Amino acid sequence: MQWVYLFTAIALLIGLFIILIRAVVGPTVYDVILATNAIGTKTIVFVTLLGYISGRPEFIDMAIIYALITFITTVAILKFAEKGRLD
Amino acid sequence: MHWNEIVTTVLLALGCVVSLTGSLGLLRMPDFYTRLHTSGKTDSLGQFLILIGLAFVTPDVLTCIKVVSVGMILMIAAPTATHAITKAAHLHDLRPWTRSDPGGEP
Amino acid sequence: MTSVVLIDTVLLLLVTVTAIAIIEVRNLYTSAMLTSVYSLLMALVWVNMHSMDVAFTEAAVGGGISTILLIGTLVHTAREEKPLKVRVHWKAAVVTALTGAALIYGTFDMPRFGDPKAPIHHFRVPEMMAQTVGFVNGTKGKQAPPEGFDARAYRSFNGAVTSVPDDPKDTAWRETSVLAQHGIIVPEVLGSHPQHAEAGHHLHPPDDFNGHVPNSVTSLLAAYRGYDTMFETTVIFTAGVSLIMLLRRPRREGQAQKSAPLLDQTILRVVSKMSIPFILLFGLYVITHGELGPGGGFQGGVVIACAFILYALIFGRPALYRVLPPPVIDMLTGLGVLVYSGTGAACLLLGGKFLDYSMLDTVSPGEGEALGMTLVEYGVGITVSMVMLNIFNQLAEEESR
Repeated sequence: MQWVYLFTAIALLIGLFIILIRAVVGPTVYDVILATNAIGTKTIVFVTLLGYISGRPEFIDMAIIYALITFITTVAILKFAEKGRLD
Repeated sequence: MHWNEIVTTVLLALGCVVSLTGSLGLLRMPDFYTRLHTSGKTDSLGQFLILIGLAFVTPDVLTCIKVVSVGMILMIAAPTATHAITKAAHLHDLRPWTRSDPGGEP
Repeated sequence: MTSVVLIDTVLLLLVTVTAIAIIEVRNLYTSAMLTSVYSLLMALVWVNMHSMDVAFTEAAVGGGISTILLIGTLVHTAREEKPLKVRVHWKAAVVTALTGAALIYGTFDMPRFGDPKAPIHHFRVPEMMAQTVGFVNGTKGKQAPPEGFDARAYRSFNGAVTSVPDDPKDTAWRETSVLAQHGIIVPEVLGSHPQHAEAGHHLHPPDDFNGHVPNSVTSLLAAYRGYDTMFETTVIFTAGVSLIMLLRRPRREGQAQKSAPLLDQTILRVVSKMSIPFILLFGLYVITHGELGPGGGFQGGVVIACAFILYALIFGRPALYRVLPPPVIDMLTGLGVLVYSGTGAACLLLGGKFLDYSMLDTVSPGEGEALGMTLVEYGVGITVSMVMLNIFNQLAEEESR
């Protein structure tokens, strides 16, 4: 099973790298927001996967906090893009 | 290999393919809306497939519930975020790409 | 190359790419978002190294709140960085290069990644654990040491505490452990706490508060380094207070609170409204669960602050002020520090030392330790969440520019 996890991890890392290029290149602000959000979701799965690779599935607590935090960050970034202010 | 490991392997492989496709689409597509089209859906589905696949090999019930709940949070949060980004872009008059008009900044 | 090293290498490569991009990107807005990506990737590196508490903090503070606060500062500045005339300062470049080379040279002396023979596993950590942990020092107020435990020998023993087994499930190490060979602990004592062996905590000296506080990081932070953590909380409190003094302006009478709620995004509004109670609940879980698993007051406090910030983002700050009026936020900021130091003072009044939690429960000192740590974590959590909320409120206030 280790090999399956490892291949999935490598696939996710390649995906992360590709999205990172998009986040750096842009060109519009919304592209960067979209890429950041996609990196966030990929990270959540990656944390869970790391827990399984190292045999400690209780890492999943981390994944929950990631899911929530990524969502809130996206909303904040979006609000600033849309309204130009945070309150 | 036990049956649940086979299920996990299949689901993880599917998830990898879907999520890599989405990433590639995010890089290759010509404008924001088409990128959103590839990445928004695959982000939810690919990640959900991987998480559900992992849930099959989870030893204890509590962790299994947590894995499934992370999948559920993702299934709710990721489409919401994508929708909100799209709506914001649309409200800001970001023009979609066509053959004659390359689109771009509002 | 093991999978850990492989993943670590790729992740560090990604982190480097992100860091260079943060420097190079002109748009400050993109830069702030890339900072969040950087924190997420860095947290992955920590997870890969199994330092869960650090990863938790990095994800909650770096990926969450600091990105929001960076965006908040962008409200007050321009969105584009001014183009700089690039001029190479040769002296500075040489000094930087030399320092970097010295630092890289210094890493050659460091123990290898995950080396069980590293000094930290042999001297500092056992010492810290021994000072705080249950029966090990066998002093007044602690649980009596079990049969066959020689406290004096343990304290004078300065060598390796345990030998590290290759397989975590391997229990044969108990018989061959250096401590057992020196007659300091008997193997049966360790064998009587199977929950530690299961949770991967078997490498620690005999007991973690008799099983009440299995998370060694929390026990170090709240008990051994209790004073440090208290003053860290005080530092955060001071930061919040000075920010109020610097940025808060008295509101003129009759001046309406301006705000721009995101009410036109229906789906976003409904989903956020539904998820806020769960985020708050999860924050409380992180604070309360800090002694059992990764997490604690700082991380949980940040999660709770994020829930309130989400509410303010969607419904506007006036709505947040109806839930939590500014005077209440200010009061709660102080209350957290009071809870922390009050727990310490209670231990003092009960006849122990300051922050000696075992005094809180005379029947079972281990329960007292767990209770004291939970109280302290709640104190930290209250202060951190309210200070974060205060910083957000001050930054979002547009009139203050």
